[in-house]
Amino acid sequence: LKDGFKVVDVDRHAVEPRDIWERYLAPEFRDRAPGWAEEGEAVVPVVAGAAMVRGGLPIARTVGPGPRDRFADAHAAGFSAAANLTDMDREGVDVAILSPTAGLYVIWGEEVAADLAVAIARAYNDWLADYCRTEAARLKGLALLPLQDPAAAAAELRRAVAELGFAGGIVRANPLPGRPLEADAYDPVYAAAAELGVPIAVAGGPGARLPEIGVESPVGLPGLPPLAPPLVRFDNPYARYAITSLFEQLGASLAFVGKAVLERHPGLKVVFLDGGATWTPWWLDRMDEHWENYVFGREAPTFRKPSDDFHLGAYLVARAHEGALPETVEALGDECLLWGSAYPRAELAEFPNEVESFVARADLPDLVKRRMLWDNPARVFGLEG
Amino acid sequence: MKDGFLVMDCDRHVVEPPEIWKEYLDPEYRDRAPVHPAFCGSPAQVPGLPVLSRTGQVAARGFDNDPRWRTVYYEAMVQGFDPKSYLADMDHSGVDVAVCYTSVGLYLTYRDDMEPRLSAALCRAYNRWLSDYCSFNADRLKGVALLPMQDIDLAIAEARHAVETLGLVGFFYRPNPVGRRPADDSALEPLYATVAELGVPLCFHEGSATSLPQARAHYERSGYGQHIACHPMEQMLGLLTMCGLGAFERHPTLRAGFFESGASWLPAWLERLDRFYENKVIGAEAPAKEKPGFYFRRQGFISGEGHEELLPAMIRMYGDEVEMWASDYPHPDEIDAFPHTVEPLIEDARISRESRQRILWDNPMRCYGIEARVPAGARG
Repeated sequence: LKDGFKVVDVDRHAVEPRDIWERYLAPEFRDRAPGWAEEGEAVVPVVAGAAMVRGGLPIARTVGPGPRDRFADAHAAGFSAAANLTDMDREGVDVAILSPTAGLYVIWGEEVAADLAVAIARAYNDWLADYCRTEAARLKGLALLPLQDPAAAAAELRRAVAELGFAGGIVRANPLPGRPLEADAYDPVYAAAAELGVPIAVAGGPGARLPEIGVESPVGLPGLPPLAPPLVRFDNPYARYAITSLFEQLGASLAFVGKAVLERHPGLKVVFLDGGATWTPWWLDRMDEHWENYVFGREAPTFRKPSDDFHLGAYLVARAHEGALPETVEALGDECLLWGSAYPRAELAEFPNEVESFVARADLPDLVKRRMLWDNPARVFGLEG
Repeated sequence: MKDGFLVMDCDRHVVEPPEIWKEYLDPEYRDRAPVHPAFCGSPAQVPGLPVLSRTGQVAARGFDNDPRWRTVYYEAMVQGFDPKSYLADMDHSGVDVAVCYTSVGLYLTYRDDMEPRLSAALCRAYNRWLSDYCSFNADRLKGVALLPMQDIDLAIAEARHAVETLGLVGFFYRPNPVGRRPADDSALEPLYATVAELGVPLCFHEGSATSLPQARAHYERSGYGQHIACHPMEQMLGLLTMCGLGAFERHPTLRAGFFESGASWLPAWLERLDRFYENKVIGAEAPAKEKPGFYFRRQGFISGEGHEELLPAMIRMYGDEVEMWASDYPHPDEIDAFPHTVEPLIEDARISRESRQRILWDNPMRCYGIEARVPAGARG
């Protein structure tokens, strides 16, 4: 509770302990269990000999837990559930929807065989369920979904919701090679989420062992091999972080909204976790213009305009400071907007005053803030109270 | 003039007649003259090189392949988009001054396998033709030059020629890397210095069928998705390069404009770049001394379309001296609006009349470094 507002933080990260795989991975996979590599003050997961965060130390530092000085108590406590709850109290957060930290890297690469990815995701979800049991009414998990095996991912989502009490599933925004998020192959996952009434959350962060925007090849003609290997166009970590955190969300929303995933799966909800909210009026306009256009619109796969499909079930996680929020509310209404902190990532600069600065904004009515902080996330994630 | 506003269209396209290459190329390159149909906005054949097109879109037939395009632009089309018909269409839309960008040159020389001297010869030929084209009414037609990016020394030489001899007002500049140069490659520094010295802008402009590395292309199977994504993402990468990675800091008089992707991405992107710049961890290796927003306000311009949902937010956050307006005439982006392309901005009562006039006239004049005077041909 902050200044009379009940608060859901829909973008909060649980930080996996070093011994998670020893304790939770099924015995038959123990000999293939992920390891860890120290990279300065960051720790990155290793699978089959490959560090699953690319780009060296600076990238690892930005996607792992943020600076020790800011999250000192939680660092000291190994980012336990209790420490998270203490920091939630400092911020005024009532309920947290929990995303992974290492889990956004450890299964996301071609190096990870499908059966191992399924086992790792299951182990992570079991660990997170125990984490949430510390205070089940305030800690809600998102199930890590191993998209390498869509049938298994759908089954894992069903298990996580029915048996572990999770509030939804989570996938990466940048897709597995050759299979964009709109691919029919993922229909079992999306159908399961729609049937269960829980959202799919889409997360980013640079440096996964996946295709990434800003790392591209020259291509001569469609269907032919690239003319040269991919070029890392931006290797500065600041640039990489900025690009990935927004562009991959633009891409994922193009898949869900522009490529008819929401239209094909009535009842499906999708939450775009990174990237804020104020990119959306422009991006939907751009999709609509192409949908209407005499050339580009011929290939548009949606029956309705993308901006209408957006309202079938897409949700945005605003950051407290976004300057164009009033216009965004005017353009999209306030029912698709949520709030999230990114705790304890480096991105969260204003901890523990993020909620306070949002509540203090004079350019948004209290009703809008109330909806963004509680009513909308409570509806999307099926919270009570 | 339109409803009392002076109007400068900061990104309009010429449509190159196929015969210009034989006429304008230096004799030793005549056998390499590109072969393309009339009204071509696709990758064209250059003798001796394969046709490269990431999307498969090739110049079998021009824009006139489509009955709707033929109908909308009929009057100029039957005149081959000569300067007279071009000006007549400007009059239909109320455009006083147009900055002319290429159509066929969106792709022609932008490939890694072209010999630098051939690229330079093609750019020289195009720039000569464009200069002649604009001379039909030099007050109302301003041209943007092509540069042979395969070789920076040749690009610098062509830049000087294009401005000092041919009177062109800016440089078409793809954000996509040519020759596998990363965005902040120091090889580009002498070119930036020359462009700054010449006092004309780098004009960031994308085209979706390029063979060069392109944002998000590896995820995409449809031209629909690719065109939606690549234009604005490449613009945003260009802005990051200029404002966030030190190019504007090192070249404080260099100007750049960002074209043809709308403008409403600016609030979310520039705010993000500023926030992360200030972030102790994420911004620890951001190379510039000031926030990207500082450099953008000082040296950057962005072109929007008639109606920009977030224009009031942009003006509140970044002032009313960075935005411009463009039609994209006569490319597919514009067709549903022509000739009423500028009305939505002129009628946008959310922003002051003074700001609208700045967007339509003062800002593009400053971007291109054009003397701010009303051309004799402007309709009162």
